[in-house]
Amino acid sequence: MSEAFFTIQDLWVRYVTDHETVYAVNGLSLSLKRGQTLGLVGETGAGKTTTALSIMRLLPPRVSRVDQGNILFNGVSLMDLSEEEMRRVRGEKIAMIYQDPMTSLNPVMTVGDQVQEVLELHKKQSRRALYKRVDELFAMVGIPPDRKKEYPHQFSGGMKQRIVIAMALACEPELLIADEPTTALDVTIQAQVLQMIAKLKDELDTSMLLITHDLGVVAQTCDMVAIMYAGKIIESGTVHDIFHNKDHHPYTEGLFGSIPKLTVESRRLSPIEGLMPDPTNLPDGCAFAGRCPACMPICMAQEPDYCQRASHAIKCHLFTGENRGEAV
Amino acid sequence: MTSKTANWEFSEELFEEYKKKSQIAEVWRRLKKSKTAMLGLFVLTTIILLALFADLIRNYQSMAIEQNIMNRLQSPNSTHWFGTDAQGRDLFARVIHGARISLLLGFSCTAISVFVGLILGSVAGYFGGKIDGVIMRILDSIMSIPAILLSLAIVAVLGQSIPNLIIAMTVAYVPGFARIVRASVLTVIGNEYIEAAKASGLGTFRIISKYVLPNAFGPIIVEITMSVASVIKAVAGLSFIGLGIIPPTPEWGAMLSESREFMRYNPYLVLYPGLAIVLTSLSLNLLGDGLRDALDPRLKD
Ligand SMILES: Nc1ncnc2c1ncn2[C@@H]1O[C@H](COP(=O)(O)OP(=O)(O)OP(=O)(O)O)[C@@H](O)[C@H]1O
Ligand SMILES: [Mg+2]
Repeated sequence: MSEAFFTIQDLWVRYVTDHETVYAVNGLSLSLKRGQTLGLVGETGAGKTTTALSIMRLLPPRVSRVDQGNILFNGVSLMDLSEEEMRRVRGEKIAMIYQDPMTSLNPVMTVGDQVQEVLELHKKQSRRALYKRVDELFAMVGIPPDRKKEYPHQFSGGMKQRIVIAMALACEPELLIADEPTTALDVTIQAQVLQMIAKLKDELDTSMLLITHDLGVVAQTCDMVAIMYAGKIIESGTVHDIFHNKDHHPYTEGLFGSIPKLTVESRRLSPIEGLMPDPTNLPDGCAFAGRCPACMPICMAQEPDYCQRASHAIKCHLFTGENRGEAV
Repeated sequence: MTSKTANWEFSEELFEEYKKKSQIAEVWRRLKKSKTAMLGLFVLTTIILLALFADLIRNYQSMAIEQNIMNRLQSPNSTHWFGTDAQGRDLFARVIHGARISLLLGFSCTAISVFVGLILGSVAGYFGGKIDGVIMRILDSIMSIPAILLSLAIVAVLGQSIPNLIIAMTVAYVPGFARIVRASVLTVIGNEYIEAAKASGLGTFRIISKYVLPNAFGPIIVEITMSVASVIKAVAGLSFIGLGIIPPTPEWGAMLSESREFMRYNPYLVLYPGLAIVLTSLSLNLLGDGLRDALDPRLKD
């Protein structure tokens, strides 16, 4: 239970196009223990999807370059697997849920056939067992199995996302990657779908990498949190560390500042000033320096190390070296 | 959620029901709803049956091949339903016997070029990059030669025979199909369901055949239905310059070009073979449209 079964070590990914080179992931490391949910939080363009696709080895082939790094899954490096072996990992050991349920189902196949196909591919079993399992999966996500002969357009967005979840969980994967699984749904449905994912993953003892930019979602569903900025993890820890500890990376502070608090009376939201640095031309020092309210000279020149306090890690000069202790 | 899901029981009846269901039956059920598609199917079946049983209806040797100068250029009448041609042969006999070769050429060339075009076009579109570049440049260079010249050159090299004619026409038709398939594939592969299929561990062949092509089928079907008639017309062109069907073998396109001298005063000579080509093409078109709609579940009911 306590050993990390999944780790990403120092991952670097670039996109190289004719015009420019985008540095999407720049030395990202994270790890996940069995049964846990890790929330990967960051604003748009931080490299969250790129990280997810690197794990699945589904980065767009011609433009992407994985320069460095290793991804270990149960002690095996996914980078070393052949394409054939990797195909057996996808869907069976590691499954992925995409952001938009409206378009992540094949419009010309019945939803039942789509769920069945994943099962057929990975688990040899009799016709009878197969059909039965498909029905069970539909019932599990709360869709009457007699609707499995219908096509995707006959379902609402929330139902489609539940079918996608049924597909992802069909083979009881060890790791589920959910890339903003509820962003495209309306708020009431969001909560339902998230609850369902959380419940099913517990039942099946699946670990989850939940990608989101919603801290509320993280608080509800995650055990661990990693905050991502310009392709790096700038702060990570348990949900308790992130939501209750005193010290934070200024970016995290900013993220919390940008959501309205019910307990504190404030007239205005205080979103973080400025934009993420241009990923084609990242600054030398700390990537957040340009927007940081607590920026010091050293921040522009040198990239900070992680300051590790038990499970809580912060990558900021405020907490390293001689500044240690002078927290904001 | 609903009580229906809470205590769902998998039963023997359900198993039997699931076993029965078939994709083809479903498409057929939807196709039947389209009156125009059924009309197309009916006309096409009639033409095919006439071609198959032509020998029982009119004798090939005596009616369609042997010249009979006494009877030349008769207008349609009760013995010669479609009239007779300049050699005194019964036009009706020649039309139904000609259907054999015309349909054989039209369908086989189309089928082979569609097959090859599907493979080349979907591989080029799906993989992109170098593979795409190589395939498309080769096809482009074939396309840059006028189709009739290309077929002519191939027939001239291989010799004049029906199989060689099929090869020649196919080579000329593949690039067009491959282009259309590639273009349709490109509109489909950006969709998230293709990514999702990869993420479920599906192999390339399955993704192309079950996820990409079925979603790209609309424009391809239209192209297929147009191409049968276009092949028949192209064969007519080759026959005209003496490299297509060897006379006196009846073939619709060849019949059209044979009657060019007489068509001013005997328009029925071009009317009937022309009508045969039009009807075949029209019925295929109607059927193709219906099939496209029947294959798209979003248009269901
Ligand atoms: N195929 C691609 N070619 C070139 N650049 C790309 C490609 N895909 C992503 N990028 C760039 O890589 C960076 C990281 O993108 P990524 O999709 O990983 O962000 P994200 O964190 O998932 O954002 P979002 O929250 O909007 O989904 C962005 O700057 C993006 O423009
Ligand atoms: Mg993303």
